[in-house]
Amino acid sequence: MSLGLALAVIGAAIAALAGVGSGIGVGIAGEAAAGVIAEDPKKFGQTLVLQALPGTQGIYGLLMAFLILTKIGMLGGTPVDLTWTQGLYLLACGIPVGVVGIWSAIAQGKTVAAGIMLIAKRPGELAKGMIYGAMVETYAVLALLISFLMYNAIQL
Amino acid sequence: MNRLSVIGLQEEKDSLFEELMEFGAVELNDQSEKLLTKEWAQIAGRDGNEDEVSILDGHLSQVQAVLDMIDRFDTAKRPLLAVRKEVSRQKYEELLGSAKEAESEVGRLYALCERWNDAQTEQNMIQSAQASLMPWTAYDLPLELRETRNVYVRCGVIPAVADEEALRQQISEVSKESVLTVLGRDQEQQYLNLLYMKADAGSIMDILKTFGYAEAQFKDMTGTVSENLKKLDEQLEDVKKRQKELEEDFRRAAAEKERIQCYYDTVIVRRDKAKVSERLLKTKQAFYFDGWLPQNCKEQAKKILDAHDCWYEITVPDKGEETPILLQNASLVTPFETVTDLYSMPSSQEIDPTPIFSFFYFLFFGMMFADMGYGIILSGVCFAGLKLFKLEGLAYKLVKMLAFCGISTFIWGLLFGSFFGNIITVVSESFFGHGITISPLWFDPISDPMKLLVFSCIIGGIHLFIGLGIKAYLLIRDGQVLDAVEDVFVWYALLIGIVLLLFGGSIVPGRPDITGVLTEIGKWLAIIGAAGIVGLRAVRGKGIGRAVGLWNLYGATSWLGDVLSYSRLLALGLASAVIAQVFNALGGMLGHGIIAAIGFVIIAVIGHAFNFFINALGTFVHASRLQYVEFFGKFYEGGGTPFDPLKKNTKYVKIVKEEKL
Repeated sequence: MSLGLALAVIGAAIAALAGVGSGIGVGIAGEAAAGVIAEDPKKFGQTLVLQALPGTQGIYGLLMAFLILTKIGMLGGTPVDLTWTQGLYLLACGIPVGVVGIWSAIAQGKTVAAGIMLIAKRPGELAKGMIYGAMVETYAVLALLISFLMYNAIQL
Repeated sequence: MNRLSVIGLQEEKDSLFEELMEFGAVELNDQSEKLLTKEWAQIAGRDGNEDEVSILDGHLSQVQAVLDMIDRFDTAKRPLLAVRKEVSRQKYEELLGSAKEAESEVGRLYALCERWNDAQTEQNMIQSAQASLMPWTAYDLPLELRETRNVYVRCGVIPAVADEEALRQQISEVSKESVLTVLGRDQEQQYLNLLYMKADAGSIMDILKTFGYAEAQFKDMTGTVSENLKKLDEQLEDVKKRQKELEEDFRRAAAEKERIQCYYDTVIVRRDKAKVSERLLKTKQAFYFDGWLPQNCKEQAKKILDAHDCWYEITVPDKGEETPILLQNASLVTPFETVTDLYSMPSSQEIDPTPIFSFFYFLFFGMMFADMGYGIILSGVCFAGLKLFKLEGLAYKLVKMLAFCGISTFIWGLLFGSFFGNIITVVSESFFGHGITISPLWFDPISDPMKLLVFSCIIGGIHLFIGLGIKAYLLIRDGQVLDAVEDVFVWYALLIGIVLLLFGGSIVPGRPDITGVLTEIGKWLAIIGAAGIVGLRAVRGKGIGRAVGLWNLYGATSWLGDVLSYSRLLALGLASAVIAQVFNALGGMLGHGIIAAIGFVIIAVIGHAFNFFINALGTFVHASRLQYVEFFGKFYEGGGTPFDPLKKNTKYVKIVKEEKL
């Protein structure tokens, strides 16, 4: 295996690390949700919707990791012989979605946890809680976009 | 919305409000402020019927308790969604039978409820008594035996950490005749039985104290522990049997459930009607109220009021007066009121933004979800839901909106060539040997994302410009033409100018003569715009406020952020498409043959279900966000109070007119 290929795989690994943030974020939201359900089990659906929001960063990470692995032929193909420059380039592609994903998912987890508290007191305000969460998500979406545009610009 | 004031005779009050509730389009205002003015206070007093309201509220909670009990023990299948059942007036009367009978039935069942609850309390008490006796099972003397002629018989506990050997030794030092038996121990305590001479009582008590001894409390129990436990067991059996019988009663009462539900609704309507009085003013013979009435219900309302010999006045509210808001849109647009509802009703100074953004919502949702397969599923499920369940209110609108959005999703899927990702290609390659690809009607965004990015930003720019245009409309409508120029039109000039200046060269490639003109126009538009933003403020502002225009000009940077925010249309569209492909690829890796095909189906079903839910949620949230933050940010504040008319607010049945069924 060439150094370039290894670097590209590291890039995929970094992208997939966004899941760390999602795990923590979803966990934070879940703790808050369970507390609310203890008082009012009818709010399960609403809290679940909010809890799912920080989960997307992990999916964006998975997406990018998968794209990189497919491009270098690690999934169902023959591995491409990359130069180390190409490998480094693909590593860079993984960084935005991975790094931004980790912190934005944690922050989003805290935001939706607050949103869950909000619907505990005011059940009609689910949409507003969701929008606050979506404000945080924006940056994960932008990071995914940049990762993707970088990835798309290189032809092997 | 029209303002309505009515004076009527007391004797007509009941029948009038009965009809107005049926009519369901008149909102009553609170009148307490009027009574603070002298003129009103002199002639009229506050009507009110708090006693009846509180009695009926109490009664309602009893009926609710009965219904809850029936639901708890009724084994019959419950419907998936709780929706109001539509019945005709006649059917309703049939179901209810006589209200008197229903009331006595509820009374009977409520008594059973209380007995069941009492039994539950009793059961808890027995169980806790059992738990407290359990550690003493090894003790076989009667509990009431506390002393003989010379000996005290005592039971008690010491902490688990206390040294029982040391205790035994110390006691035997003061009194050889004492007998100490350890009956049992658990994590917290050791359970002791102690026999000692009456003469030694004082010194033994002193020793016990140092070991943290506490006397056991058996209250008034007699007989041995095992006898008591047996007795308690029998009591428990008995209580459980009684509860079972009561539960059986409730199960039988399930046949009466519909009737009790009808009765519940009857009581609610009676309660609401009694509550109406709180919003009335009265004199000896007459009553007064005022409130709101939607414009298009005017004629019907007049008819009702005339029939009851009322004096009334229907006026248009003053300019700037806050009125309750009722959104009224064409049927295609109505479902999108969900989005407005979830944000905030427009204030009466604003216009309802729903008809304007609903098209964009439709568009954005489809772009971000963009898959033929997902579109079919979303629309299919939602339309089926509408057909099967008589949904009402927000739920109805939401489901219908999603059904429409499914259509949009399908269309964009067609344009981008996506059907469950690339499932057709993968399946045909893995299982049939030659790959088939569906070619997109427009282009595949995965291979040319820049094109879609530009398109997203253009659509976003149009969306934002329309938002700004509405602001201009509102300002001009209110006669603030100069504000409209300063806040909107010079911005149009500046922004269009900048766009032409930067991108004018690439609009018509290969024609430098045209692009040159475009760039030149852009330059001058931008200059005019910027000059307008700074200059108008300098002319119109006062003092230091004259310089604010420069700061406002800096606001142009926020437009960059706003437009780029629409890049999520591309990003989320990619996310749903690529993740769909990920699952297809995972399934495709299994290889060829029957087993691989089964594995593929399993992976595809689970994977696509997951992708569907997570992306439908994300798409809903982000399509809403683009309206709330970017679009509404340009002109909309909201803060209106929703129209809340007097109506039959029933919970279980909805009485509809005969001809509708």
